[in-house]
Amino acid sequence: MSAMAEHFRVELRSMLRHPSQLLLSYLFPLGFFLFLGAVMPRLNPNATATLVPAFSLFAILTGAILGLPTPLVELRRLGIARAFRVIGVPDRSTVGVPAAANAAHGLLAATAVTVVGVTVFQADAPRHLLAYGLVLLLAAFVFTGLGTLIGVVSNDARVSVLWSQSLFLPSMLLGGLMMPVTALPEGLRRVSSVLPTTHLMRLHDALAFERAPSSAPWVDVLALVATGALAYVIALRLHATEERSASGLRGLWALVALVPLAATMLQS
Amino acid sequence: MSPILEVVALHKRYGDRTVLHGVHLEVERGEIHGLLGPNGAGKTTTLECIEGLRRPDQGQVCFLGAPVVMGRVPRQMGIQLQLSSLPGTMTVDEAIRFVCAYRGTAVPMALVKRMDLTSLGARQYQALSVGQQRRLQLALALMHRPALVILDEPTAGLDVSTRAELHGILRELRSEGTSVLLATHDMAEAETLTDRLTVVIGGRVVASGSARALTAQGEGRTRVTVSTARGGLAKEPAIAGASVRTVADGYVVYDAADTAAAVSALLAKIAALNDSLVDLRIERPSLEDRFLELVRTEAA
Repeated sequence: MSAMAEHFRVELRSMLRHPSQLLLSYLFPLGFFLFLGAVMPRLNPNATATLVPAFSLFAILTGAILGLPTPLVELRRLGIARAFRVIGVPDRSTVGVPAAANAAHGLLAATAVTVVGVTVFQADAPRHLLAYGLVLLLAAFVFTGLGTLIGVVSNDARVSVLWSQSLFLPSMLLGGLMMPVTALPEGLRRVSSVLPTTHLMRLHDALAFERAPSSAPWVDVLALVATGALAYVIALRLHATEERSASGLRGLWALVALVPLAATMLQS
Repeated sequence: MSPILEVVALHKRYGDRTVLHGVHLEVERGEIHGLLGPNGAGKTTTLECIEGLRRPDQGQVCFLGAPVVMGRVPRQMGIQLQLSSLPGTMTVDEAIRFVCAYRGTAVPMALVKRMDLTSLGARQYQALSVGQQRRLQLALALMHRPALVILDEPTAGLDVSTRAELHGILRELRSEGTSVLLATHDMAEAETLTDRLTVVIGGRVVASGSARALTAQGEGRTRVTVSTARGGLAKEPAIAGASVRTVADGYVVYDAADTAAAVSALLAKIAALNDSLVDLRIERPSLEDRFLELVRTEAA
């Protein structure tokens, strides 16, 4: 087995032993989904249309944005990253493998949401499973990229929580997960373009559920791929800079990764 | 034979503060080389430059005849960092397989057994005692049979028996031809374990050589402690060639510059007093005495 595969296997299992990781990857998103899945269709029958795409994204978002940064901060703070470096673990593995393992857990949770949503809550099922799966993969790529970047730019766990929440809460409230973006006032609708969930929900609508697209899907795909790639590249670069300053300005790099998404504001 | 590690004129600054002022260091093949210095002396920075983890401003590090490149830890080095850890939920077995996978070696079962890790296989890192964690970290540094092992204060915080066990392992490594560079604050450890020492104070090498040679170079005097059967010496302790340090409980303690002359004078005095010798102890100045002397000199 290659070194990276062994690393991935260890990381995958290790996350399941970590109570907070388990909570953020499975217990919280699935528990929240089961609760709202039982309540929301009774309050609003139209909720079944977005239950599966919204909560599958929510599961990946929670694990990646809330669950991934703190272990990465600890990795540096406790000297684990340095220990890995002297063992010969490449920086791309130190940064990338936890993200890949987190994505795998997120996709597993999203699959559980999809199956339970369709079978138990009679929510709308995706018409194109392949497109649905690809959108979830794209979501995992973008969210874990941003989660990794937050973990790398944050000097301590408290800062990482602040950054995580500043992305998580708007994504929940304005990013189309709790209510359609079209229901937002014009100003907030523009702001929601900066959030990956807005674009992912649009892609779900357009590609997986065959609903009328509100924008050109390729623009959403391009913006999301660019954001994810930029987040990983910046995270890797900052992580590899051993003698970096502890300046809080490093956090601004996290905002740079959102530039491709912000650029779509011009389109909307 | 050329040294396995050669550090030449290493300089390093952090902002306005110069932490290394031209450090020179050589480690021979199959020796345990100690690196001593007070806190903030530049030991860890020196080690990090050697390991390729920190870029020196000037100077060169050659390992096995080739320059060490910043950011690329030489494969033939086994390193245990001062602040080193593993993910808390990783088990001992997983850590061993993980390191072997990245090192590209099979799991060396003999080493795992020698380090007493077999029974700890399923235990998570966070559940290990400090001694067990250090043993695991040392084992991980040795998995690929490195030519040079660099240990930064490996015995800090360990109990006496675990420390002795680690010393045994280091001696075994030396007997197998592995070189060890050991940064430590423990003077007794440095004195008994190392073949040669380099003392760094304020980023400068202020002394180097064997522990015996270093202590011999100092101004410290040999301490001679004597007691006699009838206590005659305690009543008239003065002798030629040594100064009386203390007289208590029938014991006289002298500081002697010339040990042989002092002992001869003592025996003559005891005979002249019609007394007889009960106990005689001769203590050379310790490495700790010499180290403190160096620190005081540098501070002055």
